[in-house]
Amino acid sequence: MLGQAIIPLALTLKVAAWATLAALLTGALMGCVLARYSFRGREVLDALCTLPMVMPPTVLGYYLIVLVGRRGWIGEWLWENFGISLMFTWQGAVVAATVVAFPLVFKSARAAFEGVDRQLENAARTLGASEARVLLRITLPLAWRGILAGTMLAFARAMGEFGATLMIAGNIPGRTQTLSLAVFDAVQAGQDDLANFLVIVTSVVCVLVLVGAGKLLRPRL
Amino acid sequence: MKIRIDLRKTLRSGDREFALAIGFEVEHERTVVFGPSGSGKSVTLQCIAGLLRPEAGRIEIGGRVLFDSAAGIDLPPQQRNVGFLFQDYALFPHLSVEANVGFGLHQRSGRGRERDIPGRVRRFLRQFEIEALAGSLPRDLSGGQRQRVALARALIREPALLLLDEPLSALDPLLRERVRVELLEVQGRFGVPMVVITHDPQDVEALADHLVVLDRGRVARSLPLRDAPGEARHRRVAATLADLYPLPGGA
Repeated sequence: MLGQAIIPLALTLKVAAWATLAALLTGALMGCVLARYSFRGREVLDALCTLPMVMPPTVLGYYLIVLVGRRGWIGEWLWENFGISLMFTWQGAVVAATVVAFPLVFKSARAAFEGVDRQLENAARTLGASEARVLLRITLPLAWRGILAGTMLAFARAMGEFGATLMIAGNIPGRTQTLSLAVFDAVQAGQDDLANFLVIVTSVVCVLVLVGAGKLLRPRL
Repeated sequence: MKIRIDLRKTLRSGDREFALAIGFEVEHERTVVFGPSGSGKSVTLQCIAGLLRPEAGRIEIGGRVLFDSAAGIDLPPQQRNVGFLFQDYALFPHLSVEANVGFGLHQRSGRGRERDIPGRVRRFLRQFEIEALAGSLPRDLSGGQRQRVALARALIREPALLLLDEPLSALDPLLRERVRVELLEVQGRFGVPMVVITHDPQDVEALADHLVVLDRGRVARSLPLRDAPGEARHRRVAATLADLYPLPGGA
């Protein structure tokens, strides 16, 4: 049973780790831009970036097929130029998990950047600090707790991703079958022991991540 | 050192508009810009430091042009060599007192100009009597200690001019008198010219060589005080302010 769990668990951690990294980079960048620059349509862009959090995963999965499927806008270009297709691969699962995890990083990053006192950045500038140094020495150190907390939530969300993953990567044991998909299969096949075990593994990992995120979010004394 | 300020800036907040047109020229070491809140003091200071950009005008400090809209000159704050003491001190909350004071030195260490940064920081900590606090974080300091850290941090870069934004307003009233004396002493020791903004007439009497009074975005008075010590200064400041801000129903 452990052997049956270890393969989907390893795959889940791999997919969630890559997806979290991608969501962290894009979400932090987007959060920084929306916190710092005021422009027309800023709140519309914010709503668009938050959309994956509230939309049904199957709808997201469908959008992704339209985009990265063999005949999709990006998918066709990838296939013709590089011979790459994301459909039914673990990389496709990463794309799906990234999209659902992105809003969690984005939302907390925007709030974290907005929470940094602009006066501190100005003080650093009058002390001769370049914009890069202001970002690295002042802004990021003061915002990182919020960003990291969002990133841990994103990791938990990416681990549990089901709907969009199923639509774009399918449910191929050993290749694209993550924990949540394996649970579904086990229940369908009446393997209650395996299902129980997989459910407990998933729950424990998620609880650990949430406790960690909660610690980071608690205000410093 | 000569300071020449001429700037125009329009500020909008909601549907209210506020037009600032400030011009003054001083040659004294300690200029106090006085005015009620909303008179444009803070904006003026931020324009000098390069944190706000005027629409037009010219800012010249000791013969060096920091901003000139006609000539297309607009130095970034990093290159202005102007120290800024913020109203709430703006100490970096995640850095120790020592790291705060040393923050501005690292930029210039490029060509070995300043090799012994830790030594210089230690000397400054000693001079400002905050050595014992070197490892503390700003949140553990009292108001007076915070101000000393902020002063040390600004002065360690040897700025050509020090700007102080309401430096005493965040302090306990009992502490203010002592800190005024300290400010005078520090200014004398470093010989750095300073521009202080305040809305406290007592600051004017204690600190000003030259008084600039702002009122609704304009210079209402520009008055040298250096030649008027003690009682004469008190009378001159009181007369100027009473003239500008008569009591309702006046005497």
